[in-house]
Amino acid sequence: MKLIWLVLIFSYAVNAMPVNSRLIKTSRTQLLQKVSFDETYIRYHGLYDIPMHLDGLVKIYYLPDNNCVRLTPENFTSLGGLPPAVEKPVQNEPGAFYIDLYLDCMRKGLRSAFDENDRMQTNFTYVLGDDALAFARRVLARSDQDSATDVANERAFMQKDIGDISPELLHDLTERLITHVIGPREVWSSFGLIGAESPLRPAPKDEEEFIAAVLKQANSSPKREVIDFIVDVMTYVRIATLRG
Amino acid sequence: MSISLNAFADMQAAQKAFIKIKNRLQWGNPPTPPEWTEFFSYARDHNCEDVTCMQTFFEQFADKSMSTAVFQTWMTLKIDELFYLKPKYIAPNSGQNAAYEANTSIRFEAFDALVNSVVSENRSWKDLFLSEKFRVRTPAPDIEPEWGIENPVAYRMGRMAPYSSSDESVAVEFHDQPNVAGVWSTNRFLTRFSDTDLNSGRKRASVFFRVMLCDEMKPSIERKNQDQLENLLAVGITEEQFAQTHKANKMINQHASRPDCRLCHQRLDPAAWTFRGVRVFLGSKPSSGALVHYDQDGQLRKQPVSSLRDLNETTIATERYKSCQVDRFIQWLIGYDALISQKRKMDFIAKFEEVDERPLDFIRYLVTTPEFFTGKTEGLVSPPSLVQARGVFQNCNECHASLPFGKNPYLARETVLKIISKLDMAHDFKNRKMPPSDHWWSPDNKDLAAIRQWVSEGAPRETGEAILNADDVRGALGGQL
Repeated sequence: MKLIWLVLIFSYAVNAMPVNSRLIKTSRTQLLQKVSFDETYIRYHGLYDIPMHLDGLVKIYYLPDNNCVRLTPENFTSLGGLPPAVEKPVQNEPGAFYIDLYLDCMRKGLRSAFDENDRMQTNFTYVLGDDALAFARRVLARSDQDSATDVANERAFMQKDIGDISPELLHDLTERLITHVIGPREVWSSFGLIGAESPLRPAPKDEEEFIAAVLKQANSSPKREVIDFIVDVMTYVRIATLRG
Repeated sequence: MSISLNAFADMQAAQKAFIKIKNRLQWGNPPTPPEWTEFFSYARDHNCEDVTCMQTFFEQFADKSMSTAVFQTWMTLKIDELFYLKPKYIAPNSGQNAAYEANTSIRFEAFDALVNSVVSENRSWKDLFLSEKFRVRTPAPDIEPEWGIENPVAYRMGRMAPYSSSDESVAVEFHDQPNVAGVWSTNRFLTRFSDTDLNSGRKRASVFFRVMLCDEMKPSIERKNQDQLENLLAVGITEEQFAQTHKANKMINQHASRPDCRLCHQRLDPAAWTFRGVRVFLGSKPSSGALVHYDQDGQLRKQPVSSLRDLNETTIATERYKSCQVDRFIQWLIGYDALISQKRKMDFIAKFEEVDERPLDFIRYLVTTPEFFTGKTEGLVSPPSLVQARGVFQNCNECHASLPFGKNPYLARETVLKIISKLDMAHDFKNRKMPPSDHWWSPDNKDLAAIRQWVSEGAPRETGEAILNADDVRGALGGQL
């Protein structure tokens, strides 16, 4: 009797588990969805890859929002799946909202890497380089001469209004971030981000135009703190490499 | 390894190659700034000006990447997905990763231990299917044999058992047990694919065929019902009304006796018999069956086997097994849309055998081939008849999946034969059923000639590999060749 109960409980537990690629492989219509998901994974990677991508970008130990990496009946159409009732040729591209969902997850993950004080300190240096604090001091000194020496720490820098930073320093900051995400300037074109094949529009002709494109994209965000800017730049560059 | 200098003439190609190796072996991540520093240092120290010069660096980098937890986790998840198992996400470097804990209700199981061992210790790939060495969780102190089973360890391997709450494990080794065959004997596989009176091990056997021979079999009862559903919806029957009929029919396994269903069941059923030995628990008595499969020439072969273990040993000895496993690595590492010529594929299979199927050795080889960088064999040209036929078939894509009919050779063959039948090619297209008479597009004589030409050449794929065998072609063309 005990064994029967164990079997029943285990069977229920196995079948009740959410977010499971196997769930979408158990019938013909659902298999079609899976084919589409495969395409999604190949071209854009799966949501479950996000923690691994974050792992390469920042020191992070958990995602603040579990739902980001979970496949649910509510979000699968956004991810490129087909509603079960529709038997049409398999889509080769993910759904229209997939990229938004992906970006949102990336932003949440990156943001969490800077949210707590101890992790912020670690990631600050990891992302911006060993001279990060000196760089931050330079930025703050330019923008707020009077209190520069008092507030020159990671948190003050991260909470600074991006509008107060001079264009030259913003350029430097952007280049540092791009370098952290994809490598030094001389390899940027190898990612297919520069030139006619670039997925960016308009396609940047050289590294300077690429920095300008990233700056423009990051500045389009309504949020104005440096931390938001950093998260936006890293997310944008990372997603550009996935699509490229 | 030979890399064409024409294809990789400069260091930018080497950079792209480096990005791709890192991307594939490190879960989609690009190289980090320190890794770029290593790259440029090596290039400078060795005066490298092209990708060929960087080969040693790439091999060393591949080795380094494959020794990381990120790669091993990626491989583990790939294998989970291959077996349609719920992935167990355990992020590298993060024992306390809260995001994954919910998915890891079982942190340690014989299946996982075997997979980890094959990947991290670079054991032969066939150990996955033949190993007699396992690690299982420490039994709970009060474990007692039930149902007259004498060996609690064997019992625990085969079915559920009360585990202790710790993650400690013990080594278990079997010797010449007929029902012990790597992952097929583990709790995780057997509980995921349950055995019922109706499926009688066929569900497990279908996974076996898919994993071992890339022979994917879908339950035809579902196909039949889906077709019925579509037809009935088209004439105004509601889905609810259909569901009631469907429920009544579902438990009757009528389809196995249908001629078109026998196409799968003649292969599936003899293999399913061997799974009787692990039906309830890991039994000691062998259950004989047979390996019935299509060989590389498309001929149906039958080889009697004495047990589940013998089924695996027999399968591993086939050319189809090697081809299937190599295809899998190509898909995982190079891409699902890779175009590899037949000749190069044979090179890959030879290398797979040469390295004794050790996955890391084979991957190291694969990621330094030209195909890895370009996605296709250099100089591979699509057969002209395919180009012509594809142009015609594009008109069919509105309702049907497009060429080249998927990667599975058996499904592709069945699809092409179905097209031939629907077009009534054997009778010069006189009574063709497709496209429907009220469809806006209808093929003209030139279009039909293009399809006939493609079929007469064996329906070649992009790689030149023929989908149809000579008998198929003869039948398709009404006996004329």
